[in-house]
Amino acid sequence: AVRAVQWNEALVRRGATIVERLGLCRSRWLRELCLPFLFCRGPTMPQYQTWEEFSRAAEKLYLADPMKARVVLKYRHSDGSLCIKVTDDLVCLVYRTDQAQDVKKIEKFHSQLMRLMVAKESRSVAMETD
Amino acid sequence: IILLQNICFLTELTRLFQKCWLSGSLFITLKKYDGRNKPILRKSSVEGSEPSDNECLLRATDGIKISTVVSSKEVTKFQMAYSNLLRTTMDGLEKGDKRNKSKKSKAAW
Repeated sequence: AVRAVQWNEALVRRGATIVERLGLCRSRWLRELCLPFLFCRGPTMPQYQTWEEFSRAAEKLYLADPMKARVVLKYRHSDGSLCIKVTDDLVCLVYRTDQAQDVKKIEKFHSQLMRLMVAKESRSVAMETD
Repeated sequence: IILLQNICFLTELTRLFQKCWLSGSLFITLKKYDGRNKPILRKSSVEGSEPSDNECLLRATDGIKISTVVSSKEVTKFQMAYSNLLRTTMDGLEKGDKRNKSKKSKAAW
């Protein structure tokens, strides 16, 4: 899983310049549909088995570009499942769980990210990792 | 997409949770917000309305979308209420099997 994330980070770093260049392209189709497929060489939607790995990777992804990253929570009470996804539209990190003990961790992480987003640029708040 | 005040958003979110209690999924999205209301056109100037760096956008949907904007002034109060809401409503998950087993084994010893 760590290797997968490193591979994706390298792609993201390399791909950032291509994205900027293609962003000027007139064809919206080319920009929005083709770009994800250009980077489909490695696993682009790694599902994490441990919370520690996921939270570290997600924090890194957010800090790389705070404006692009978003966090999505999906809760299904009928299935008793909670899924948290952090993505910047190029890389997508997912953590699924059906354990009540993970709810607190996920909710805490969600709040920490909220605080990070709302903090002013001059003051960088260090994320507390569990 | 209905844009609400923070408190109204929390009430509506509780209602959304209750609505999809028996079936359906609830999506909550959190994103950094820079105050943009209009899309940035390529040829026009980059910054139209005043850009603000210290806000975040929170959306919830289960078909019906609601959203709210949280700024740094409101974040403390809102976050406490929001955390409590999430923790109390997301209780449909299984209690830790591993923890129970380790507790039982510790008690046995």
